[in-house]
Amino acid sequence: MKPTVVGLILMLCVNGLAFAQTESSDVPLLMFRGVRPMALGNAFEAIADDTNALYYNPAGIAQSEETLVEVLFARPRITLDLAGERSEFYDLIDAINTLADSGEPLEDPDPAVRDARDSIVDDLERLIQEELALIADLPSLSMLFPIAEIRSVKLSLGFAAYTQLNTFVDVSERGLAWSDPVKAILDDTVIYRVMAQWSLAGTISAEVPLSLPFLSKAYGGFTIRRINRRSFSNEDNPFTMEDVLGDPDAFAEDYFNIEEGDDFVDFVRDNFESQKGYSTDFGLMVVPVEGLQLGFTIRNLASNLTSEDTDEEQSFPRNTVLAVAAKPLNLLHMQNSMLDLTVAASIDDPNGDEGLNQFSSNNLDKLHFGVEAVLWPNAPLSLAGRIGSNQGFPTFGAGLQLGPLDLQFARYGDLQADWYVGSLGLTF
Amino acid sequence: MRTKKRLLYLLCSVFLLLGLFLGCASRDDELESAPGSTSEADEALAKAEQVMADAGVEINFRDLQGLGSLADLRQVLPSPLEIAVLEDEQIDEAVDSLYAVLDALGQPVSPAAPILRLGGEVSRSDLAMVHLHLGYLYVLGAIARLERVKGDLYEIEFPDEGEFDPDDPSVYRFRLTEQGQARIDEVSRNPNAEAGDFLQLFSPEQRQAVLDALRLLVDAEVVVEADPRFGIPDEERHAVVTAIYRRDALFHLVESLKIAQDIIPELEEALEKLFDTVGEYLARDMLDQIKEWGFRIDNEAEVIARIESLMQ
Repeated sequence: MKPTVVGLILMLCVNGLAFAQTESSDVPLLMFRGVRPMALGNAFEAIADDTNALYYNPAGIAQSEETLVEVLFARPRITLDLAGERSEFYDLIDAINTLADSGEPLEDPDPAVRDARDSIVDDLERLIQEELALIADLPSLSMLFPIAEIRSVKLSLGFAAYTQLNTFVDVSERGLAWSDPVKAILDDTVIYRVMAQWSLAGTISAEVPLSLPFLSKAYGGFTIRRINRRSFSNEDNPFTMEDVLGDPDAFAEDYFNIEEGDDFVDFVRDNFESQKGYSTDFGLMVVPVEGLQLGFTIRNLASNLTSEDTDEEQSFPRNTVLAVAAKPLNLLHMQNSMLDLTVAASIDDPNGDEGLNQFSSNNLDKLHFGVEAVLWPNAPLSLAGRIGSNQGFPTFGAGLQLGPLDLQFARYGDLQADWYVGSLGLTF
Repeated sequence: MRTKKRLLYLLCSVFLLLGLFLGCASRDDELESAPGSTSEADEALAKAEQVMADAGVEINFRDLQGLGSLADLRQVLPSPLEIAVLEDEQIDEAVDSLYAVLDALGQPVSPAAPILRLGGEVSRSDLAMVHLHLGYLYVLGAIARLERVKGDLYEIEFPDEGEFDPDDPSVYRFRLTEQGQARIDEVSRNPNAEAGDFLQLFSPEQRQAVLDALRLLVDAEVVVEADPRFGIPDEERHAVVTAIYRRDALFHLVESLKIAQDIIPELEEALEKLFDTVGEYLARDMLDQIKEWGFRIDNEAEVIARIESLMQ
């Protein structure tokens, strides 16, 4: 038994890493990340003890002793830059209006117009450096339930239906690095993306007791998800300020294809790309001793996303993760009803889940770790505090569980930006 | 229990080590250079910009008004007096650096490459701006040379504030002073006057400035023939370092104009006026006048034809 299990794990690890290195990533999966894992720096594959296991490590769902249902009402995630721009946007619009009202917007000596010009350049200079993005995970339902025990092997099923909205605007620097922002911005590219995605996922997981030295239990799981995606983006053909300034009419026609009589709804209907596809995840988890868990996940083991308009086929980047988690109090046989501590770490390759390969970093971008402290973990009211590091960027958060009500907040960092994220849901 | 404690210590050590990485990543090191540029090009540009800023002749659109006021060049172009204090080395260095930018972008400019090659990756506004800066620096170089040694013979006219004539697009004009005109008139009244009679009214430095300025403005090959009788022992030609000044102001302004027409309409009108100022009101005027004072223009027909064709 022992050589078989160890051999299987080793084989999967080697295969997984090999796959990860040879497959190309076409399009990001847009992982359904929970606030708790994000606050833990995404080092969650070896914890995987709640509904987030459906997305992080399917093996983990068999850890649940009883049926678990989570109804998530909303989980907005907003970059710190966008949050900070809220009031500045109004100022920018005011400045643009001031210029628009002036007969000679570039030459008018009126102090108000001059201030508006200065303000616009300042705003543009700042916006170029910022990441403006909003991700909203809209109502979703996740369920985990044990279904059977066959010869001491416990089987569990998981199910999730979830929706995501992802919007993103970025001004990317292009061309020479002029010190004058007006010269610099002329050739900068403006990229936008609006993406809506709804998915169904099903998971099966098994817990196998082993009773071997340093291997008391093992879990294995498999997830398949169906993905429907609608996206509107100019990522394949970004426009520049040159395009806007040169011939605004031609620009509107080329990039927004707005015909006379079209309203916005027509435009959206005509221009959103529709894609359908699937992805599969495989996960393993082993428990060497009570209080210590090792996790292994291959996300997007097989995947496909096909455009309904062009039949173009793409795939999601395969992502391989090795993880460890420990409950120090359990290891020391000091578990109690007052405090539960968890520490976790993981290493993954590549960091492709959110299409972040475009952002270069260093080897830190493969590392994740987090620490969680939960007060009164099994009481009707429990509080959690978390801190972690995701790809070298600090994360922290807090959670409140009041009966079924689940409130979570985190400040999260990844290669793209720093984010605020919160969620409101019911868990029972 | 002992084994578990050891495990715990090991875990704590690992996490302490990992904790050291907390917050130490940075997004600043995304890319050394943006697409469409190279680190060499950016470094060369930074050097050129620094030299121009130090010399007080940078072109700045920072307040946007610069872009609008380009329509009235007299508001943005420096006066000849301001230009005269520039050192040749400053302009040389800025021009050399801007050519290094074009070289690094794969857009080399040489006398043998009259047609601008537009690469797919290189941005049009960058090229328009680099050519605009080069044309501007060539003009500054020409004016600086003329202004420094003008004496009381000639002057570079530049309208004072309040004297701007909206119907007159010229900015810099080459004119004899009253004293200079009187001396020329005096020689002209002599029916036997030779070229040398006119040429000796110019100091050697003034003649050299004229030769250099016309080379910088329109690539004119102007020659002062040797005539020891008038104190001109050797033939005089321009002394512009062609390894630095690969083309002329007109070339770069036209290249900039060609691109700006498509992408920066606000710049187009200003460039046309600058082009008129350089080609018609400064260079052509000078050529017409110096011909009568004994300077020989080897490529006159070619230069005039070029100005006229470009003016269309």
